[in-house]
Amino acid sequence: MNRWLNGALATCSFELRRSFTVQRAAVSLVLALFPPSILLILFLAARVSGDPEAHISILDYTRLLTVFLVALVCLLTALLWATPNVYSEIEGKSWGFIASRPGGRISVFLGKFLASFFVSFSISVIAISLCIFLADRSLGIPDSQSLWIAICGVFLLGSLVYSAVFSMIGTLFIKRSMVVAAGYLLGFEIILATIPDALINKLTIRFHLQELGIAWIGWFLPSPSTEADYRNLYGDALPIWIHIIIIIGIATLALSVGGWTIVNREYITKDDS
Amino acid sequence: MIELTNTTKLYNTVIGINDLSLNLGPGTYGLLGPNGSGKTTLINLILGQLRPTIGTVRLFGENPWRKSELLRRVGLCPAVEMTYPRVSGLEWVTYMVQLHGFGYANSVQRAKTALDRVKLAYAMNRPMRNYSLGMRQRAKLAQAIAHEPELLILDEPFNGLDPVGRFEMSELLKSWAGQGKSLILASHILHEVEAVNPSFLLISGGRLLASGSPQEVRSILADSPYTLTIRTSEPNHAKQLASLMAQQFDIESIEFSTDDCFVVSTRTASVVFDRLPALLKENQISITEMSSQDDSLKTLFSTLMKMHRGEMKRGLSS
Repeated sequence: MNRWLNGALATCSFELRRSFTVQRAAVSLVLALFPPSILLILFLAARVSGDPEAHISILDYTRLLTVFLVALVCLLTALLWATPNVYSEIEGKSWGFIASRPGGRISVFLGKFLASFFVSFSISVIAISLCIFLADRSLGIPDSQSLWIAICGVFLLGSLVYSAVFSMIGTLFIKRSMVVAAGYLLGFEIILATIPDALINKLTIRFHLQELGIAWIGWFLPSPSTEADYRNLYGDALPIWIHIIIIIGIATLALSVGGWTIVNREYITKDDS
Repeated sequence: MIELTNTTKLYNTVIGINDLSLNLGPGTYGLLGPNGSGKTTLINLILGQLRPTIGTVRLFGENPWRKSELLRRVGLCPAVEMTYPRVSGLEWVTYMVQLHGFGYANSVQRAKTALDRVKLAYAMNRPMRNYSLGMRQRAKLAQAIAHEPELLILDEPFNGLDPVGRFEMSELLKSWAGQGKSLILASHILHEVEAVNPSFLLISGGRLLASGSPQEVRSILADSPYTLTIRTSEPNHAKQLASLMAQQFDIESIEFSTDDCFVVSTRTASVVFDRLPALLKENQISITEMSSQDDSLKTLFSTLMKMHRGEMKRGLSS
C-alpha cells in the first residue's frame, strides 16, 4: 500500500511536471478565466444598459452562474486530465515501461487521478476566487468569504468524485474513453438528473452536489422556482453527512473498479506481435 | 528461471504464440525471429503483461500474471520508440525507478549511476525531445538496469544505434552477462545478437523452431549463400574486380546490374570480407559502394524450415 502511494505521488508529480508546457498552461489559464470573463461581460452589460431590472436579474443569477460556469470548467478539466489515463500511455508507447514495474499500473492510475483532482480543483478555486471578487466589487456580496468557502467545498468534492469516475472510465474504455465520459455527463448527469420526481436523480453525482450546494451556499437556483417547489419535485433534503458519504462512496467505488480493471486487464498494444 | 509449458496466445483469431514450451535457466539468450514472429508476445507473456490463452508461464517459479512483485527482479527495455518530450532523461529514469518502489533520493542516485553506465550522463539534464535515437535507446537501457535486476530483457536494443553505439551496447551487454546476470536479447538481426555470444532461441510464426549454440548457428550459415552488391568508381574497375573475385573466391554467381555495379553471391562471405580490401589495394581498384541486405536470419530460417521438412539434415536441436 505504501509503495502504491509512493508510486502514485511520483506519477502525479511527474505528470504535472511533464504537462507544464506553454500550451497547456495557456489552456488552463483560459479555462480559469472563462467564468469570471462571462460574469464581467454581464456586469458591464447591466451597467451600460442602466436598467435597474437587469441589475436585479444579474444579482439573482450571480451565484447560479458562478456555480454553473465553474462546474463546466471543472468537469472539462477533469475530463481532459483523468479520462485518457491508459489511452495516452498506450498511444505514447510508454505503457510497456509502466506495466513492467511492480505496482506500476495501479501507481499510474492513482497518480493520474491525483493529478486530475489537483488540477481541476486548482483551476476551479482560481475561477471561484475571481468570480466572487468581481461579484463583490460589482454588486457587493455580504459575507463573500463564507460564500467562497462554501463553493470551494462543493467543488472540492466535485473534482474528487468526477476525477475518480473519469479515471474509471479511462480504464474500461480505451480508445473511446473521452466520448463515453462526455456521453455519461450529458446523458446521466445532465439529462437524467433533470427529470423531476424520479429516483434516478438520487443516483447521480450532480444531485448530491446540488443538495450540498443548497445547504452550504443557500438557495442559488433560478429565482422563479422556490426551495419549496424544488422539494416538492426532488424530495426532502437529507442530512449533509449522507450526501458527503455518498459522494466519497461513489469516488471510492469508481477508484476500486478502475484500480481492479487496470491491474487485471490485458491491454494489448499494436506492438504485440 | 523461465518456464513455458504448451503456451499458446491468441489475439482473437490471430496466433501470437503457438504451443510453445521452453525451460530457460539463468544465462544469456538471443531470441531471434523475423518481425511479427512472436518475440514481443513471448516477452509480454514472460513478464505477465499478457495471459496465456492455453498453457502456463512461470517466471522464477511463479505465475507472473498474478504476481507483479516478480517484476522487481526484471528489467525490460522494450522495442517501442517512445519519448516524453518535456522531461529530461534523468527525470524519466528517476520516475521509472520510483515505480519499482524506491524512494526519491535513492531513485535519483540509481538513475544517475545507470545513465553514467550507458554513457548518457553528459546529457541527462537535457529534455528527451532533444535526444537522438541512439541517446533515447541508451535512456531506455538505463531505466531497465537502474534497479539492478537479475534478468534483463531487451527487445531490439540496437535499433537506431550508429556503429559506435552498437559496439558500446554490445560491450555493455557482454559486461552485464559477464557479471553472471541473465540476459534475453530479442532481435531480427543475427550478427547483432551474435556479438553477445548467447544461446539462441529461434522463433517464427509463434513457434520455437530451434535452439542452439552460436557455433551451431554458424555451421548452418556456413553453407548458406550470401549476397553482396558492389559499385565501383569506373565501369572497367567493376569488370576487373568481378573477374578477380571469380578467380580468387568461392563465388556462386556474379550478375551485373549496371556497367559499374554487380551483385555477387558467395558461400564464403567471411573470406571475401577478410581478403577484399587487400585485393582492391593491390589492383588499385576503388569502390564507391558495398552493401548487403542483412538476410542472414532469413537464410537461417529458410534452412531451418528445410530441416523441418526433412530436405536437409538437422544441425540444431529443434
